Amino acid sequence: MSTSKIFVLKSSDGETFEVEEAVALQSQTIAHMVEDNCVGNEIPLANITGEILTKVIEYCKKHVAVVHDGEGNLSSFLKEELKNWDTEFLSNIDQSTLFHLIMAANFLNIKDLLDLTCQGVADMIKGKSPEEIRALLNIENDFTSEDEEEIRAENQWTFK
Amino acid sequence: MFRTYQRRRLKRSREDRLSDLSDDLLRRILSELPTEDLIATSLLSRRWRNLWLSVPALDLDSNNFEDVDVLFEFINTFLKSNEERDIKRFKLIYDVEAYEHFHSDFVRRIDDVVKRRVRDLTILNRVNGEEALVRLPLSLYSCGTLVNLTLYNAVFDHPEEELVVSLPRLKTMHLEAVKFDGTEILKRLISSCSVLEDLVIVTHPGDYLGVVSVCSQSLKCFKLESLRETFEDPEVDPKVEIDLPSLEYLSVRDYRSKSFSIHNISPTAKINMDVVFDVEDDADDPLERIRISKFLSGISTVREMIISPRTLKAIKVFSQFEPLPQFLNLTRLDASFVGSTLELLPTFLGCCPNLQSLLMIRLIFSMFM
Repeated sequence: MSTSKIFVLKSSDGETFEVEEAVALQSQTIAHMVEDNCVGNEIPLANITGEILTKVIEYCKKHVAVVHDGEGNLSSFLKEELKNWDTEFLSNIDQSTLFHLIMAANFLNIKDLLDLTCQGVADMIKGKSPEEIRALLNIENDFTSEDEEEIRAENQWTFK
Repeated sequence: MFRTYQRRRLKRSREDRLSDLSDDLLRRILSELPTEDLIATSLLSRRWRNLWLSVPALDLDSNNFEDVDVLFEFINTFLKSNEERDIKRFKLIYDVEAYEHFHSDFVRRIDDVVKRRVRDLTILNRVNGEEALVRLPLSLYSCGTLVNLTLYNAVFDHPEEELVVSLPRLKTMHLEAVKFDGTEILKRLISSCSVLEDLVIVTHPGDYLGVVSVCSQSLKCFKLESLRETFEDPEVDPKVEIDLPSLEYLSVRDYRSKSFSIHNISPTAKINMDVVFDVEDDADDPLERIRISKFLSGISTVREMIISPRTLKAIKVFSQFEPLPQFLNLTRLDASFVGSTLELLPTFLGCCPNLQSLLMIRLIFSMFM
């Protein structure tokens, strides 16, 4: 195994994480920082807590390991395994962590993680009525009843 | 499992964290939803009321609309409401009665979508092909933004000579029961995709597909499957011509055709073959022998191979009349030499000097039956 560079990622609450180059560079944001030479080996991430960064790194480590399986071409078996791991990963985090992960993946520009977490929220919304969605996600209903009538009328064929 | 976990946690947190996210992130989440669910979000709160209209994706099922006119009116309104934005993803399950389908209305709407720089296009047409053909707009042939295309039971009209056929960004193409009005169109289409990586073709009865000619410098994964019935007629599937120097994986299932030619295939390719030949035990059919010979020389350069029992059977019969080619690169073989094909095993192994692994799981089970 070739010696790869180690980056140190520092969370907003001062925790440090050592990660291999290949893991860190899954973040396009970090990749650009490195390209533009604006950081040394230590990369401060002022808007991501240690708890969330742990999860991000967990994801990136798993996804690097699979890409480097030898020939760079992912067999359908490995794809399936990765998908199962992703599902497991999502099911082990609470709502609050999920949203923080979305923001972290967005800031760090890790496309696959962002897709996964957004899909996770979409899955929570799918098949639910507006009332159920509001209850689940604590969204305040600031419509008047006239507003609601109007909207229902506009899209009446959807609201069966 | 995820949902029950959420309900337990809800009791502790009362924050609306979803609203902390930016509009762009919300749109990203919303673009994963089928349009039905997407529209439901317009009732969540003021902020959400019109957010769905700017989501660059539509996922529609015609069954959810009163009639075809309402469906097309909806698509029209949606497209008009955000003039500048690209429609990244468009999926349509088109399940209407044949008499409800009007070509000009349909093609105009799909054309509108194509012109909005669509990236992922999926059209699953359930209109009975014997009653009405659902034809696609010609603009589809030159959609510069298309990356993923999935079509079921649709028709590609013949492009005029002057029409530029070019899909420069297309990476995956999945064609099932797709009819082409002309024998060269599929070949021309594939050749025009300079970055095509994944191709799936599924043949159906009545698709008029005469030749499946797949020549591509970029294609990595090609799956070919036949859903044509195999009655008495042994030449049921289109002829196949393969020239794929970058191919990594080839899979052929349930395929029976007059000619199966692999002109060029990457030596590192892995193949999974279930090609049906018309052979009878110990009987010599010279025509079929030529076909099998051609097929075998085409696959003789691969590194990893899975062969179905019936393809293996055909090879066994062939081997009684002609020598097998040498499989010099073959390092891994997965084939169940069961019953009558067991006799073939030593001969076959003799042609594979570099074989490292042989998988015959089914052989073990059949011994106990």
